[in-house]
Amino acid sequence: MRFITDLIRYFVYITTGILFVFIVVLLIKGIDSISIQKLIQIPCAALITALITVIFSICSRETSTKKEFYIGIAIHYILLCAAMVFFGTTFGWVNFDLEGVMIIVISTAAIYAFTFVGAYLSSKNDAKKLNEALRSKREQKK
Amino acid sequence: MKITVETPIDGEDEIIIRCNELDEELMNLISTIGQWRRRITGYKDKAIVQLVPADIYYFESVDNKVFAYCEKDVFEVKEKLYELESAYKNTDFQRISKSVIANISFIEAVIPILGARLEAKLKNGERVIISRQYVPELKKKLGIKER
Repeated sequence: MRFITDLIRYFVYITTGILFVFIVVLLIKGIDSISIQKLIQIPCAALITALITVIFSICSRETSTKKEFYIGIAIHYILLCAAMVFFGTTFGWVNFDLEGVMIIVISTAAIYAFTFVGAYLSSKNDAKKLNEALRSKREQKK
Repeated sequence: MKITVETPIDGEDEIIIRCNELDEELMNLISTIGQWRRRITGYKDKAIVQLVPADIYYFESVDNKVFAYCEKDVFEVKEKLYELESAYKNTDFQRISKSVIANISFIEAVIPILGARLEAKLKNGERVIISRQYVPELKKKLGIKER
């Protein structure tokens, strides 16, 4: 159950992130429309990258040191970049050249940061609920 | 249910339960009292100490050994983590990660940290990681209803 809820959560974050990147790129290039194919491709790419993220978060649940944590983030980011380069070139979003890869790497970093903040805010909400429950438990004991 | 606490004139502490029916809730309560009073044998250097569960902040499994962390001291215990989890399931002990069972009455605050994880700050100043996997169970233990 947790797997599904996490998958949906990351799927929503990543879809929003990719759409945001598309909007920025379209605005910069002065394009005022987006094809129906791209609207189907975006959730497909988001679903696969969300799946990678959830599997990765399961594998790195027990990391305790900061070093392990940062190595985990680096590996995760590289995997996401590889997946996005694959989808970006397959779906024709970018060309497979230095410029195309750079666009994907920077966009992935932006989406990663967005998702990271989203996950942190979700944890913050959990922490708030737990602290309230702990406080009321302490008051009951008094 | 009426709860009466009396000071005994002499003799040891005694708990008497008067009930019409011994239901599941009452059985859990009796089991909890029994578990909470059970001592755990802790080993430190050459000393053997009887530990009171209520004094233990958390249990941690490290390299196939299980340690009980009290306010200042750490003792090795012979029980496995899953045995402790099962023995103290109706008490304030709760599994918070693959290797840690914490006494939630000693959690001072829960702090969000990077990587969608949480950290429990204990009353003695120590900090232990709460894995996301165990957050739903911790919430349940604390009576937080998930939507």
